[in-house]
Formats: sequence, structure tokens, C-alpha cells
Amino acid sequence: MRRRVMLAGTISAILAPALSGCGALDPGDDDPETLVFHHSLTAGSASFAVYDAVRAEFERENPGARVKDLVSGGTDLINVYETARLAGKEADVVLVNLAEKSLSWTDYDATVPVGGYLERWGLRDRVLPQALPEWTDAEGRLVGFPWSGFSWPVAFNTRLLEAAGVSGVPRTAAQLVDAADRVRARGARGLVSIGGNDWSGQKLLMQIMQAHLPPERARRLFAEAGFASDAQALRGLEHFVELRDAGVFFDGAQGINADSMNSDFYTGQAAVVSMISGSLASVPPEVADVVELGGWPVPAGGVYDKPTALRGYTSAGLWISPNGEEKIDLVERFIRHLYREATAQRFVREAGEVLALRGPAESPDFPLVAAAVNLPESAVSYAVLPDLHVPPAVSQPLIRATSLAFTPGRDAQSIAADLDTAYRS
Amino acid sequence: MTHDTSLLPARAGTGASGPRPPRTARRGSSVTLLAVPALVWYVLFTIGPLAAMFYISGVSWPGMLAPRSWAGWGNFRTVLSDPLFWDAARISAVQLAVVLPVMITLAFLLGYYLTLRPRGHRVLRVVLFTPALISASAKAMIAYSVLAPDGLFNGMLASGGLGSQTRAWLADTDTALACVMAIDLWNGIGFTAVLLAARLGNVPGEVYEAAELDGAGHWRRLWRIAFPVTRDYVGVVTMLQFLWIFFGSAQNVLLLTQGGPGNATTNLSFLVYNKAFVQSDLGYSQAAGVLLFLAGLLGMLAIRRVLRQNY
Repeated sequence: MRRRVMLAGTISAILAPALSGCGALDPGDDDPETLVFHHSLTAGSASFAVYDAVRAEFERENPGARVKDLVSGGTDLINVYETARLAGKEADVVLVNLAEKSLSWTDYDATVPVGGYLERWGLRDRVLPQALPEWTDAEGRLVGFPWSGFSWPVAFNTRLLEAAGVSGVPRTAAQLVDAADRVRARGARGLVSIGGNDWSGQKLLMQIMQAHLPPERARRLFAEAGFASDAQALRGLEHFVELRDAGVFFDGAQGINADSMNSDFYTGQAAVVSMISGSLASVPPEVADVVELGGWPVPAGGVYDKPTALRGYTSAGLWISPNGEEKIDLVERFIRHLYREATAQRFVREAGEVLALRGPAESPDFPLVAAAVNLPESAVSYAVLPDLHVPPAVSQPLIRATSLAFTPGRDAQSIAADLDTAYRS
Repeated sequence: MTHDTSLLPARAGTGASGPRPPRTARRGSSVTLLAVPALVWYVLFTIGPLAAMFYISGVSWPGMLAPRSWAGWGNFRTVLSDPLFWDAARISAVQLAVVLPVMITLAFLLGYYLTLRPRGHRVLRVVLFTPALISASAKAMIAYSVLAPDGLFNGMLASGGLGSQTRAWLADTDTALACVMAIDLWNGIGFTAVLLAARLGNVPGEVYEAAELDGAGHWRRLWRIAFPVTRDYVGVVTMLQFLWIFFGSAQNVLLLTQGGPGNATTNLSFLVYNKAFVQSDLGYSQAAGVLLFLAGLLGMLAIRRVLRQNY
């Protein structure tokens, strides 16, 4: 009996820490021929299918080398990476966007500057010149290898607009309000479906506010707040309130999220959406056939004389961790492989990705993505994307304030005060 | 007078085979050996984090990767002078003041009803327990599909001629918190009722029969017999629900409203989460966590005092 008790005690004493040690779940790997790649590509997506094939190709071409995937969803990836970094067990290469917390990774030595590697490996010429400044921090360090970007136009379902008697896509605020009246007269819930309760609404609010806000001033306000005391920001917000109160947005927009917005457009219920290229890739063909892309209509006397859109190259970059730097030869081979023209072309053609690399931008199977990337500058002006300027800690409170902005009855001054409060939350 | 029941087995052993202290000591050490892993585990993963929380509340730490420096009472001063903290405290207080009494009262009534074994009571138990079997994210999806602007609830209102009453329930400052509380209630009443029914089922039937002979109806039997007899157990269940609402309800807030619209549903537990994992202000987060811990402790003591067995 005593031996049995001793045995049970010993086994439990050994098993408890062993089971909690999570050896198999360790995100890092010390094997010099195993590269741990942390990303958020989910199985089943077109991007993952291409990546999977590219990884297999890399392993075939580099006998002995192995790529171990570590997949975390969206915003979780940042926290997972940071906690692993604290333990010195972070992945070698991370594919993630440049926004919020990742903006400070280089400062905190969570990742290493890659400008030297870009030059040494001769990859500078592969990157679109406009992408490099976005990935260069205030101290002139290139924080990651630019990988993918986005175009963020406004998508118009011309069939729905024509059915409501709207000829041509609206280009001015007055035309937008007129179109809203017409589609509502036919029983629609509004003209523009928008995720007023999440990031999609926050981007559109900031974009509309910029109708009366010069780019330099917009950058300063996004970084430091002060909306309530800025006459031009208030004028932009008053314009937003006019559109909201004229019924431009879907009823209950303050409670809609981006998924619902996409669903409204994919199922032909929404005539207009402000949609990022990644979501345009999923528009069903029968809807895509009748979609025309453009910019957000602007008011008379505003800062921009053409409808506005957003674009950027910060969707994802390849960051190298301190662990990755210790096996830099393997990292170099991997990044070179991803940066190959043939590899990039597969991501563009087969997954509808918008890459920050030179090469063909044609995606025959994703016509709307190709159209979004190739929107002529003669048709749209590009407003300032807030992401690179809004402090990391403010992003979420700002999204919560956005929901209040889409709530009927809230005036421009209150919205500005809500935005300022978000910077103090 | 109290009885020390821990002495009973020793007395029984003594009566049966005489005093054998060496064997008792050996058995005691064996039991202690068995408990060592659990104790180590407890110290490492319960006492350790608690101590860490107190330590972090005293440092300035702007993000997990950022360097930290000693801040003393600075984080507490910041927290206590932050209007958002007081708003969150008010929201948590409202949540507790509304959800806890409603949940415990309704659960007690339901639990009593179950002990009467009405027709279909087994099915009813399963139905009541169902929310506890659904994952948090699935529950949030259900709630969203019901409360979204184009969701089931608005659809019912519209088809019932109440279209003017439809609204974005989760995104309206007037209704968002009420929705979160309603979900807390839906989530907890059935589960708590089944727990209480288990205890109420152990109340001797003769006591009810005697009361019935004396002319007591269900209502009097419920509050004059069932409640006093199970008062201690009701206290335990109340404490559990108090802890869940006070510390765990960040989950529903995170999944449904992210603390919004504005800060309308930012309660204390969500504030602690949000400051740590989203806004990277760990010192503030853990200072708020310490205050939350102390408030939780006081709350538990209060519940224990109010609902302790008094006979």
C-alpha cells in the first residue's frame, strides 16, 4: 500500500510539470534547419492554399530545411508573439500587419531592423518604392520586409442603383444623398452598409471627416487628438452628420460589423459599401459583374476635388525575430523564396493578394481586386489612412467612439468630444 | 457548541483496534506526500499570480515588451482619478445590483419548482442546463443573431407591428448594458436553479408535510422552510455567481460589445482586460485588478454574512 502511494505521488509529481511544460506547443525551435513561421493564414483560404504549396516547394528545394507553421488568428497573433518573445521562445519569422502594438516592436527589440538585410540580399528592387516609407520608422529603420497591402475603394452595385433610378455612381455628396432617398423609396434599409461598430466604420468616419481636413492636419489630429477644438475637423464631422441624418447609412449602422456589411453586399442587399480589397476578393461573381468601383463622394468646397479612397502597404510584412536572426541563413533563403517573382505572382493570381512587390498585379480570377489596385488617380484622391498615426493604445477606444458617431441624434461636437475622450481612455 | 468532526474517524479507529499512533503518522505523511503536487501547483499558479498582480500594480509597464520601472502608488492614483474607472465601477455595481438578486431569486423559485417533480421535470432540467453546455463564443453568436439590427428580435418586433421600437440593441447606449445583463441572466438562471434543486431535494419531505398539515401553501413552505434550511447553500451559490459577474463577465462584454458603444458596457473586469491586453498599460490594469480583488473579497464576506446559516 505504502509503495503504491509513493508511486502515485512520484508519478503525479513528475507528470504535473511535464504536462504543463507544453514541449510540443513551444512556439520557438532551436533546430538550425527548422524555421518557425508565425502567421494568421487560415486553412481553407486561397492565401493559405498558395502558401502551403510555396512552403512545400521551399522544402523540396532546400533539402533538410523545414518550415514549422504557428497560426494565430488576427489580433491574437500579436499577443501570442509578445508573450513568446518574453520567454525567448518566439517564432523566427512573423507575418503580421504594421499597426497598433507591432509599431513598437523594433523599439523593444522584439524584432530586428531589416534594412541591412534588404540591401545585402539585393531585394530592394523587388519592393514597390511607395511601400518602403510606410515600413520605415521615425528613426529611419526598416522594421519588416513589406509583403502585402490593400486598396480600399467604394463599391457600387450598379444594378441596385439603376433599379432605384440612379444613373451613374454618385461622385458628390449631393448625388449620394439623392441616391439614398431613391433606394429608401424602394424599401431599402439605406444606401451604404457599414460596420459602424468596428474598424470598418472607424475608417469610413475618418475618411469622411477628411473632406474638410487637409492631410497634414489629419495626420496631426490622428496622432494627438484635439478634434473638438479643430474647426476643420468639426466641419468634416458636421458633413458626416448631414450624411447620416439624410439616411445615407443603413438603419442601425452603429450596431453592424464588417461581416454583416460584407454579407449585405455579397447578397445584393446593399447598393454601396466601402470595402477593402481583401473582402472584394470574395464578392460572388453574379454581384461582381454589376459592381463599379470608385471613391467616397465628396462635398462641394472640400479639401479633395475627387472622390476619396484609401490604400496602403501595411497589411502584412515579414518581421525577423531575434531567434530568427540566429539562423539568418535559413531566414534569408525563406524570404528570398517568398520574394521570388514566380511566388509573388501565385499569391496575386491565385489568392487575389495585393502585394507590395514589383511584378504583375493582374488577378484574372479576382477582377474587383485588380480593378481596385488599378483605380486611376484621375478618378480618386487618396485620403490619409489613420492606422500609422493613431497611437496603439487608442485604436480600440476610437472604434468604440465610432459606434457613437453612427448613432442618430449625436451632433458633430459630441462626436468630436467622444473621439477626444478615446485618446484619454 | 460546535462539534469537531475531524476527530470522529480517530475515535472510531481507537474503539475498533486500540491506539496505533505510528501507523496514523505514516498514513498522515503518505497523504501529505500525495498532496504535495497539488500544493506546489497551488502555490505556483494561484499564490504566485496573486503576488505578481500586487507587484505589477506598483510598476509602470507600458506593454509586455516594454521596460518597466517602479511607480509606487502612482498607478493607484491614476486609476482612482480616472473617470473611466469610476464609470466602470458604476457599471459593475449596476450589473451586480440587478443580475445577482434577480438570478438567485428566480433560480431559487425554479429550483423549488423542480423539486416538486412536475410533469416533464427531467426535460425541464435539461433545458435549464443547456446554456451551461454551450461555449461562450457560440452563446455570443446566438445573442448577436438575436440582437443585431437585422436580427431575430427586431424581426419579431417589426412583424408584430412594433417596427418603430426596433433598434441596434447592442450598440445603443440605452440598451447595451441591459442586453449584457439579460445574457448573464439567461446564462446563469437555469444552471443555478439546477444546483439549488439538488440541495432543495435533500430537505426532508416530512418537514414539508408537517407544514402542509399546518396549512402552509407553497409560498410559505418556500420562504419559511426551504430557504432557511438551505440558506448556507444559497450563500455559496450566490458567492459563485457574484464572482462570475464581478470577475468573469468581461467575456460577454468582449465578445458582444467590446465595452462600447463608447464606454457604455466597460465594466471593471473588462477594463482590467482591456488595459492589459489591448491598451498595453499593465500597471494601470493590475492596480485596477487589486482594487477589484479587494472589492470582490469584501463582497464575498458580505454575502457570507448575510446568507450564513443562522440556526
